[in-house]
Amino acid sequence: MGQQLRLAWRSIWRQGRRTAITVFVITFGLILIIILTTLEEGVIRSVIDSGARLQAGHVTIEHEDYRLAPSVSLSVPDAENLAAELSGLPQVQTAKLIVSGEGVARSGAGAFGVLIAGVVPELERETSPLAENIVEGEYLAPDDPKRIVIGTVLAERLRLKPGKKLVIATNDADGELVERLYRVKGIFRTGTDEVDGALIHMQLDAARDLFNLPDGSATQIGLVMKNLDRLASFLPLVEKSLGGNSDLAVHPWQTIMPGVAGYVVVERTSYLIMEGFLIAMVSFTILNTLLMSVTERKKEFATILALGGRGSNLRLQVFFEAGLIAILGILIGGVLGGAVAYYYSVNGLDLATFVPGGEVEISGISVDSTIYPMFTARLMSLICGSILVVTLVLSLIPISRVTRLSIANLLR
Amino acid sequence: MSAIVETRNLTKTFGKGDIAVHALRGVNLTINPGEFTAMAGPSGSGKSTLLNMIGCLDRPTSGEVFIEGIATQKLRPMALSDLRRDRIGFVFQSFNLIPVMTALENAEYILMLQGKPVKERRERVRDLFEQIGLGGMESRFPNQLSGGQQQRVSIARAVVAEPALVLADEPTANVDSETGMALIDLMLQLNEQRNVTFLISTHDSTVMDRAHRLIRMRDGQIDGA
Repeated sequence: MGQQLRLAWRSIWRQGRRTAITVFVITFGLILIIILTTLEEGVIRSVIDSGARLQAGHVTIEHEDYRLAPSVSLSVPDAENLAAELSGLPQVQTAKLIVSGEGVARSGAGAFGVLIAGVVPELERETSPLAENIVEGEYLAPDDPKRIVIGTVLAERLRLKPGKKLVIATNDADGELVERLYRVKGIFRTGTDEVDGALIHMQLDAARDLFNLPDGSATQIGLVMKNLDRLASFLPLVEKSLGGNSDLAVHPWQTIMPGVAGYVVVERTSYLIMEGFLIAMVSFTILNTLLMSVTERKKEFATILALGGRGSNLRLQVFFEAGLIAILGILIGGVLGGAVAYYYSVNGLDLATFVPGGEVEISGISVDSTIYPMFTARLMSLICGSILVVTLVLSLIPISRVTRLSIANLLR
Repeated sequence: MSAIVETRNLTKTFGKGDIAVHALRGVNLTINPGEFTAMAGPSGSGKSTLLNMIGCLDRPTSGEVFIEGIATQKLRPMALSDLRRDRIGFVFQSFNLIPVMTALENAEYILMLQGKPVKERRERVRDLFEQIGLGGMESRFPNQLSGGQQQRVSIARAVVAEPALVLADEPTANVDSETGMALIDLMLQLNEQRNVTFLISTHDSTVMDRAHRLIRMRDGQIDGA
């Protein structure tokens, strides 16, 4: 085996220039694939993360009927204790409590439908992009029961500034019509009109009071995960933690944000198609090299067979040659592409020049123009492994030619 | 003493119908152990085809080939491969050394295929190289050797595993006459000292003159022996 590996190594350098060109193509293709994949996955992860942090986390626990007919009457009664228990799971960064309901915001300038979110301000400051995007005034503090923050679009529609008052009218959990007066503490801008024109943040207790919900309850518990890659194994753990409470349902982000889930599928499909073309380009180069190499050496292979070598010896050698060329290209391409991806995953790639206003909206979620490519060992292994597997599978074509040699004809 | 090679009514036809070429037409031949036999004849007379049949590199159209009493036409490809590896050595006109192997690696290749330990392989090849004047050239690659040296390596590869028979197809055709003479000396030396049986296809009159036995072929048949 060692001897054949050594011979394979020497064989690939018999046509050094051709091997170098093949390795270069693999390297170049791999760098492109790594950058493309990590960048796209970075954007996808950023959209999912921004949406999950702005809304109800990567995993949401709510009343089983809430998704079909969202209503404050379908709340989770013991949400506070449950959230405290779930926040102890190692995968959980934060367990958010949210009271979410609809209403009408009214000022002297008019009235508009709004989405009211009762939140814990300290947690939102840690996790939500909304708290970071206050353009006027300040975000909520724990002792702000009569204050709210609104988006720039709503502020403009209702002609409100920080310190100004507005009335919110809604139906409480018992179906009674209620009205409360609040003062604007801050104005945020996410860049998404749907959010900036409708979302209102208020303190959790204030929302419970508005909707007449009992202490400790919430309409949703949102779990923000430390590592989204572990979502599949995390969901059963959460369900187990609910202890058979059949009134509650556990939803992954795909259910909570179907628009984002659709975007992710489309985005991944499109970049996988592009990568498919790149891999095909690389593959044909490798195949061409291997076929030429085998065709040139038919007499040599026939000699080996004449001397008593087995077809398996030749097949293994061609397989090793393909593998060595692939590994060489993967090593160089992986290191260079990985280094570029890693650098930008730490420092970010600012695409502000190409993004007017510095922000882009994807599926109703604002994403910053600075992209952080997703550099993970798993993703890198997947990309490099794909190239290796494709190469080794392609090597079966020249290998099949080696086994069909006519010794007598070739040695004539 | 049983024959190393025996062919019975051996025929080989290439192609069919009007374009059929009858390369061998009922060849009966016996080669005994220790013989140094030259096979001569014009181009197209069937020398190489006969060597291919005896070397189990090709199947006859009809007839039988026995190597040390084994009927080769009944053997499966893998058994033929083992027979070639263990009992037959080959020397080719164009040397056919593997370019990415050193002289030593080329010579020990069959021993490697036989699964012999590295130490034994190296010792046997080094001893043989000393005997045939290749000492010190073990680590050279074929392109660093002259034609004569390459053919010596080829001969070493053919005899190192102590086969019953060495088939040489025009071994002196690609070297100058002086080198050709030296190669004949070497093969005769191996024949005498190691009792290696040689069957050599040739156009070289020097080889014919020095062979113990001369077979003449014409139109796919043995014309005289």
